[in-house]
Amino acid sequence: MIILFSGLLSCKKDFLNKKPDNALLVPSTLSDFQTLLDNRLIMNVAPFLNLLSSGDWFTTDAALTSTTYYIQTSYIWAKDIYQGNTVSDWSVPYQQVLYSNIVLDGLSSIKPDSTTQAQYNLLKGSALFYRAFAFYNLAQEFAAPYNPATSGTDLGVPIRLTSDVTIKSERGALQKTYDQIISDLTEAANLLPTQTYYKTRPSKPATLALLARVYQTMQQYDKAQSYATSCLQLYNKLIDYNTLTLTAAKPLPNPLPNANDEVLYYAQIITVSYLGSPTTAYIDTTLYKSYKTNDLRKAAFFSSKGNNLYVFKGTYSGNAAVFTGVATDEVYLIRAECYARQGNTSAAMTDLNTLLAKRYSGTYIALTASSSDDALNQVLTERRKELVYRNLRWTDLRRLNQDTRFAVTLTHIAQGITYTLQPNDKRYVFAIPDNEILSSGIQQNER
Amino acid sequence: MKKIIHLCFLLICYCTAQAQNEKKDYKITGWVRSMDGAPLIGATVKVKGATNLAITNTEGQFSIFTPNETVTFIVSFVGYKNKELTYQISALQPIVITLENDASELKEVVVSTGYQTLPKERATGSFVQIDNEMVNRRVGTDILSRLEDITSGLIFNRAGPSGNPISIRGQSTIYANANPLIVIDNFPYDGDINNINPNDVESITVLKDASAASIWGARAGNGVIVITTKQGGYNRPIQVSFNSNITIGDKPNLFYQSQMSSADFISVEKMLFNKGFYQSAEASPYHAPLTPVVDLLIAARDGTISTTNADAQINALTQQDVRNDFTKYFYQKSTNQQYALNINGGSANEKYYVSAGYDKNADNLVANWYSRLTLNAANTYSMLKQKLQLSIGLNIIQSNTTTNNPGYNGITMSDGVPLYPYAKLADASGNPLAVVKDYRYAYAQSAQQQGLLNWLYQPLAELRNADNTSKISDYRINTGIKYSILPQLNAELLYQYDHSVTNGRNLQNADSYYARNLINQFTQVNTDGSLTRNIPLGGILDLNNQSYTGQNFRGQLNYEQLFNTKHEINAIAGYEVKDLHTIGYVNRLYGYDDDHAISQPVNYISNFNLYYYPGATSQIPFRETQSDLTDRYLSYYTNAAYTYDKRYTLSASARLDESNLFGVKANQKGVPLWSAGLAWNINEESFYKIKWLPYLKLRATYGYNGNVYKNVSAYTTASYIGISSGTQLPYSQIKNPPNPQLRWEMFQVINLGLDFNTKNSVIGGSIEYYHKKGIDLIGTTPYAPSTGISNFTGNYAGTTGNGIDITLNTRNIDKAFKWYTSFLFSYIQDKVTEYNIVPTGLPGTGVPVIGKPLYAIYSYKWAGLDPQTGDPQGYLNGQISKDYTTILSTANAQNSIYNGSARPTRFGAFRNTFSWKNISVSANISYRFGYYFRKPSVNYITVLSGQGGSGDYALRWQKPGDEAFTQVPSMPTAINSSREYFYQGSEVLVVKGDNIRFQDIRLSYELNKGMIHNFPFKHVQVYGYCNNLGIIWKAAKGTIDPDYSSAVYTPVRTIAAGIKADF
Repeated sequence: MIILFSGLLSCKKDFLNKKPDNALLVPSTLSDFQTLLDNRLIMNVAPFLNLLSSGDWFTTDAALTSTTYYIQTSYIWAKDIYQGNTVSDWSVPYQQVLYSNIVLDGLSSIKPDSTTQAQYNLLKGSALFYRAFAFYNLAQEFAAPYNPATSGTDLGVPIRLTSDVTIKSERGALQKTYDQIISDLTEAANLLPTQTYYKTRPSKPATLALLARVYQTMQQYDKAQSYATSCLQLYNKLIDYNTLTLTAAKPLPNPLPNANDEVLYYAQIITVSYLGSPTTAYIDTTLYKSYKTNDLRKAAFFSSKGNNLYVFKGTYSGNAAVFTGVATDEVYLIRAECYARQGNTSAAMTDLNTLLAKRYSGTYIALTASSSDDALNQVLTERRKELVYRNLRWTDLRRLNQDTRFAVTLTHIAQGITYTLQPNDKRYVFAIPDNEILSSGIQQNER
Repeated sequence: MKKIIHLCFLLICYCTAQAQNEKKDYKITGWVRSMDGAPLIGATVKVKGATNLAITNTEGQFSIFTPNETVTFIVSFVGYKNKELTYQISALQPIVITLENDASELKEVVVSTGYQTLPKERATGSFVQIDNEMVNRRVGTDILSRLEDITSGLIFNRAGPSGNPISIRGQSTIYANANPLIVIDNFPYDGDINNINPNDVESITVLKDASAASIWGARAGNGVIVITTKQGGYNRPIQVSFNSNITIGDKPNLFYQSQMSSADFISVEKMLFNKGFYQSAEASPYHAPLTPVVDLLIAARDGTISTTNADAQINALTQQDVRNDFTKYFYQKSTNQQYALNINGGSANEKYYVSAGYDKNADNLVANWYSRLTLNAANTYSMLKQKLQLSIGLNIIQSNTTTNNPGYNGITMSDGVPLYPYAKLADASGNPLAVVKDYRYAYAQSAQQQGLLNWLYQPLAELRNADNTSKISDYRINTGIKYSILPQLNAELLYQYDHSVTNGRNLQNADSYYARNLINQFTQVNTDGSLTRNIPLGGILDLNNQSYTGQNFRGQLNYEQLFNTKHEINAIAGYEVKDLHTIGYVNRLYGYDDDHAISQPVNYISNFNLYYYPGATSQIPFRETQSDLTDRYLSYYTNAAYTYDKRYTLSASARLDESNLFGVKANQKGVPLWSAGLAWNINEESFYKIKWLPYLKLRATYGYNGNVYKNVSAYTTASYIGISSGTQLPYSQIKNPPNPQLRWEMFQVINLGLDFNTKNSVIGGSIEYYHKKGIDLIGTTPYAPSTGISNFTGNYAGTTGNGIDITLNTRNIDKAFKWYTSFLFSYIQDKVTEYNIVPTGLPGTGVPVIGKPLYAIYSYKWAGLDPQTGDPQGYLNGQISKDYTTILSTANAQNSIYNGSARPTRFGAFRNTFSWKNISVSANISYRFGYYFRKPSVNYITVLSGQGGSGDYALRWQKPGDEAFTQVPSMPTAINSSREYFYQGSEVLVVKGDNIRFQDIRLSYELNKGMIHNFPFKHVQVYGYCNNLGIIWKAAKGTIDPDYSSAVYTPVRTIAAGIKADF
């Protein structure tokens, strides 16, 4: 009897580690973790409130009144957008953080061997990438625009680095948020392969591109430029729009699993049917008019609803949803902007022309710039046209409004009332949902 | 609690002595008898100052050697006061000794915690000891019901979840296990408690407070019931005991719940028919079932039969009540037989107990049986001069339950729709008749002509076709080694292996409706008109196999020492490992031929056309599942008590549990559950002079017990969803985030007790007050979404409870005629103090509301019936309203009426025992007060669906003025579910549950050896027992029994007769 139990007692840890119910699926193997990260409905989505508030679209009173409350409130930049409801823009990115942390915590107890090292690295790099992407998306909505002068005192978003949900959330400085994003992405870039078969899985070029985007957001253009260059050295494919069937309902190829050459990393908007199958969200008229007639994007991106009203159809997502991932066109535009800001006019225009050559019909006449400021203006104009409905406008507004040269006031008219959003308005930061404030007691944003 | 043994014994010791010439020892022979002449068997006779020892034999005789002419004997017998007497060999005369009846010297009560036994005098905690007499007071198959109405603070629940039959001192948990821990001898019993034969039980100890129970640590929170089984005894002559009884139970009364009369039911059917209610069923492609009346109405409408003919047939049906048929053919008087035999005894170095028991019960439901065979053997060997004890025990249990009769409420139409009240189950000569089941009668009837199997359903014939059994085989092996290292210190190792297999076997044979129906459903008509049976002909066999293997190991040190006659220390410390592995599988065989035990394969993959429903397809039901569960515990415990001069006792206990059910951090933290207690025997103080109150003791304890919840895992759990669109990759989803902090629930318990006994035990008893606080209870809480989740189930809730337990035993008359009374009173008040989710709507029973008991009744305020329409009326914003939807949607715990607890808050029993010479009569009256229940009433949702309902229908409002004498709403023209939910939830249906019932009466007659010349038995008891005698008083009007408000019938009255004999 003693012998019988000495076996049990010899390894107490294993004795207590036995699963209470074998039917419980406790993720513990590399393939278990892969299936968690391959849950694209959770991992490959991004917030939508910024798109609703971005000013890229407008609608009619009739359409607005019949739609969901958060579309109505976002549209007019209301102080209270959520009206007491829960908000997936806040909860879903944190769900991604939890999944990533579960995987990272799980990986820490696995020792990879030579046969599993590659998969281990992919999983670890992916989890870091997803976590960074989630923090970045949260920071664009729930933290102040990054301003190098105040980032040490501005509030960031709660940074959670373990899967233990019982640990209380706290808001640190905004700088801490961005530091975490950069450190996660830097580590991920060293782990991820140069190519992944599935665009839903992050790759090294996608990570470098995201780093370029993050540094651009932080207005550190030299670093943004260098990461954009590293990305494009590994991957620089662009789609020639001349090859597209522009009259198709969805002219752009499906990136899933990997048919869209421009897509570096696939993500789509958290389901919002209103923007996903737009019948009443019309593209901003001035923006529409800014596309030249031989600009293939005019037909690839928009379809007419009559009465000079146009809706967006040019998503890179391959389905009805708005694409919110990372693509090479953005990387070219980031680098072009950085070159322009660094005074390297010719390099800026070369990048811009490389991109636009794939967007125009007939013989493309390269654009020229008289100065680096002119180049910057041209790059920003093309950025607006190229990256429409890509969940980037809101971040651009927050960044560019800090520079009086590029500051814009947004205007919407609803029920005869004109609503405006001034540059650097407090409403460029969304309120944190009530249930978060009540449960964790973190500081609310002033809006 | 304890019934006081009050017999005054006269010890007659007639001794003869012979001087033995060879040796110097004298042999003394004597007899020990009780006052009424019966021999006292097993009494110990010691020579003072020597190791000599003798035990009286079956004649009460003993022989002992002594070297001295003057010796002092010490005579002792369990339950009686020791007697010392000095004896001169030369006197050569019989000595008569009278043992004085000292009221303060009650029969020694030893309580058992499962880790140790200790005299109740030294206990600080709250223990209830059910001695053998009380265990045997009731007659029945199971052991747990023996505790009812004789255990203070313990209640049998009639409200709340069915999986929680017993509560000790109320309920402190919200979602976790609420059942007391049941321990048999040393270890918790993981099997079905009904396996335990009450005849093998010596006594039961109920541990109620922290001090008593905390030795069981994380599993002690709901109280502990320690069952001590019978054992042999060293130096005890062989003893054979036999007990047999038979219990007859009345036929149940199926008319207990009021039900719409057949005439009313039919009139509603006619009304619904005229409104076209049955048109869609009539036209349904799947031949939806219609009752015979509706079929007759259709036939009359279509001219197939004349209206007068139809009316005549319908009228005949109004006289029919299916409950009469059920009573006649499905129910019977129950007959329970019990036989138990045990043999026990022992020599100086060995003791043994061997028993066999057999129970056979014929249920109130015809064709339902239960039988149980129990075999026990326990042996203990003592060696190395009593320093080493080896024990081994074996328990084998076989039980067999046959459930072939689903009963009145188990026989329904399709989808659980109740059978129409005018159904006929048999014709005049008792031959089974078919009733409408899943299809229209004519359709089912024509099936055989189409080549299908007979598709008719005859409930009475199904009794013969059913073969549904569940067999339990359980064997437990116990081994133990105990070694005395020092006289005051011993070490013991205990190991128990318990393996139990439950084999459920439900054979629905080829003739059964279930098999025929399924085969017909999956019969396919081929293009050439031939039939293909996708489910092969034959029976359908469902097997359900559940088994567990439990292993318990314990190593324990016991220390007991008395210093300077005043300081007494008693301590234990130990280490325990438990591993319980439960596996189960369920599977089904089609086309089963029981004679040859062969089955046939079926295609589970394809979708087949359903015969009765053109265009619909279905897969053949696949019934195979597996389960595999493991509970593991590692525990360290210690318990110590120090008694000074018999006056003060200080006790302390601590236990640390680690388990695979807890989170890693909870295991690492290692915070033990502990308790401390103090007892003061005031009567032992020198200043204590109250002569009429010779026993007075104060007790106080404080500590923590734990409770385990198994439904939340500390692990991250996920589930596979399938293949992701777009990527075609398999993906999974997190179900439960990791909770490394997950731990046991904690109950903090304070217990204050006063025990007393007046001179001659005229009044004795105890009064206890307790306060319980549930901490870290499992509950769901809204969670900061930044954690990645928005709701989390973990240790987030809290409760408190207060209560009083009073036990009073009085001896009202204590002469040749005796009248003793036991009075139990318990008061409980518990409430939820911490819960983070506020319920919306009228809170249901079992929904936590802060400040209220978990099981509570809430209701909508009632404003009477609308005098114009008979509609029920409620209040909305203080105004009388019929806006039911808004009343329902705006209701919450605050604006609704809180009627009170759904479980009794004051309860107990009042037991009187009368005895004269050898006749004893004991009657128990139980009472439950301070709770509410919802009485059933008519629900027009079922009425207007043609499914009948409560007999309150006949009392409904029908015309203005009716509101003066009825509160039953009028029948609406169409179903308005909000109106029904309002009425069902309204205060008008909430009734006080308070009641007093005459629970049982026991009559016994004792015969002892010596009373009759040449009587072959030592002791014989003939007894009768009658249970469930009925309600004496209840607060609620009407016939509904508050404790069985939704039952089909109340527990039936039973009468038992039995005989118990000792050889």
